[in-house]
Amino acid sequence: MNELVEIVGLTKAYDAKHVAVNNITLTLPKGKIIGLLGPNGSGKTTLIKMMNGLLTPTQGSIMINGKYVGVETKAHVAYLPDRTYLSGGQKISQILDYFCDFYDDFSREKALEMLKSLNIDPSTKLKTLSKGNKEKVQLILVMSRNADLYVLDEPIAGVDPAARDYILRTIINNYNPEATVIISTHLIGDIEQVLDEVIFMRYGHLVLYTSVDNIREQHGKSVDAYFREVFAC
Amino acid sequence: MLGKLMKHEWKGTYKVGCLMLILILGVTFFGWLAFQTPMWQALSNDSYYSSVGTLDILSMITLMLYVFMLIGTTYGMIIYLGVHFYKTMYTDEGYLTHTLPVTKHKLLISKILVSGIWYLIVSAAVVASVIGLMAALLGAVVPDDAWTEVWKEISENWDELLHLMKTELGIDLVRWLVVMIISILIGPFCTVIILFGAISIGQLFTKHRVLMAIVSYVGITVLSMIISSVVQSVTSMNAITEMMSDTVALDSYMNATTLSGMIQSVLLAVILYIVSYLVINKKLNME
Repeated sequence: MNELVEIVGLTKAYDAKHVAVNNITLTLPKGKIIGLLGPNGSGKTTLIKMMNGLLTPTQGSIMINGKYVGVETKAHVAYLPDRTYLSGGQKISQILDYFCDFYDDFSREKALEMLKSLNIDPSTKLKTLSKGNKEKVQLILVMSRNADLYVLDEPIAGVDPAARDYILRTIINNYNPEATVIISTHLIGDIEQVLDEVIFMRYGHLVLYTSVDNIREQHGKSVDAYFREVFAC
Repeated sequence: MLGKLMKHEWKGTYKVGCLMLILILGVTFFGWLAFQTPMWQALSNDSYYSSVGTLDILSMITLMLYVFMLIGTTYGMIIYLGVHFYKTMYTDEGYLTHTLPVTKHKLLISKILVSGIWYLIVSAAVVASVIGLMAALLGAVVPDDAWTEVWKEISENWDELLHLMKTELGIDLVRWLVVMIISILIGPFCTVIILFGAISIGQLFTKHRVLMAIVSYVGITVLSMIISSVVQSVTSMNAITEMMSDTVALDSYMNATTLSGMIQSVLLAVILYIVSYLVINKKLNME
């Protein structure tokens, strides 16, 4: 069985007028890096939140590794949200303790190694770090897990190009090769070279789910150029 | 996992909790200082004191501040616990809380237990402060040997006192004290469950969630007060009717009022625990 994520008839409606995700059915395999792409308000973050149990679907279901979203799936999903979810008053070492306590697949050694490569002292309080470094610390925490599924929501938004390179290198060098990585972003050009497959979303609907090679072969274009064509205003 | 959740919850709250305790200690010291003015000293010396000086006015102001500060500390702690719950469950920090591989029950129970313990500690500190200050004042007014005599009398005649209360007033003091202590011990836990429940109800709204949480809390408090008043009235009426025909019914009145208050708090807490659980399990919508 190669399926990792099975989404069936998934809908999230805040009210009759605001349907953030509309009847999506999708199956994602193991061992792929998948780009979740779409303009603002297309429903990418809503879909990701439902995969992590942060939003309750209005209809439909999500299964990860054959289990409905819950305690068991959370133990195997490493999630990077599009915001700082750590308490600023904590030292990085305390945050590492926290992750060690709750995630069996978390490697403290790996996290310390990555922090050292960035010259970030684990005894530093999170609030004293720059925005870019805070985002890197969050990414390090996520990528230090040996998860089955990594869900990264806008991991390279709001950081400088050098930091983007670091983040992408960190993702590529540290993810479990058996696992699947879902990366949601607007900055397609920056991540295109690492993607195996892409999902296009618009107004909560699934527009396209295909491989990057398929786009290049069938349309003779890069993912970035094809995205611009599909989502042209 | 519950132990780990409680450990981290404790780490997240102990600084403010300890700060509150230090504050109570400081306020108690100033309260004690207020009793050291000439007016209070004259009272303790049983001597005549004709005029009120600046120090005595300061003493009265300090004592007023003492009362306000103690009330403020108690409410401050409960507000802090509510804010901490809201912050870790329903704001950005909730993204980490709700993606932990733990059950929703364990998540809620860890927060209720740690917050309840803190509220109990702070409430106990407030009570200890008041008792300590009163004891200091009485100690200054009443001579030491008189106190020793009182305690000696009570301890020597404890059994007789209990017997007299039982036969003359119908009060089973030990049973009443047990019910009272249980009620005092579970009270802080019921308070935080009700608070967390109100905050969770606020999350059911798409906009103004904090405001709706406050409105919910006020609504629940008013509703429980109305129900409590009705129940107390019925209990009192029954007890008064009984007492008119039987003097030994004071015990049943005291037990009924204490018990009914406790049962109401527990029932409300159970209902609001279920509400909180349903909200985070079935209706969680992180913004």
